[in-house]
Amino acid sequence: MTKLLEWLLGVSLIGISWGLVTFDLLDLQLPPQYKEMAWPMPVYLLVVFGCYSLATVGYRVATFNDCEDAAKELQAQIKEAKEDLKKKGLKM
Amino acid sequence: MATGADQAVGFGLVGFSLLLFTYYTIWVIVLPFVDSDHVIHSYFLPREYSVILPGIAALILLLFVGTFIGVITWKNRKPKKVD
Repeated sequence: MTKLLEWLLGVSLIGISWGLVTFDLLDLQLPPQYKEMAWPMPVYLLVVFGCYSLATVGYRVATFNDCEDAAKELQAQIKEAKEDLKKKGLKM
Repeated sequence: MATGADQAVGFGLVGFSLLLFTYYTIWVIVLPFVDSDHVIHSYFLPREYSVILPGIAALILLLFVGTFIGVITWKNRKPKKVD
């Protein structure tokens, strides 16, 4: 069973159970509040996934390890390389 | 640790997504179980908007991405042949 098939199977199972609840295809006679909660579920899950992605990106930007010394050293090396190449005739 | 603007933007994103998650969760999951005459309902739009608004946001995002790609492709076109 490939990963694609696994994902498709999982998504279709969830989709079918959502469809059954929202459109009352099995006559389950659920209380109306549960049906009210169920029908926006696909959009809700998408929004939650989006929020989680945004929070993960934001957190990793905020906690990224800056290396100030390495950055300064790299800038100095770039400057040195540029001057050296200019001397040897390369046009910048 | 990142500093200054990086930290501000990063934690700002985290805070914004937490707010959005909380508001949207209350809207979709909590409100159906709350009495319809409770005062909290006045802070939320009718239920249909909980599906329509993310739909419109997704459309706007797609428009933005498409326009961006179009502009960049237009700027990078070369005369006669595209190498």
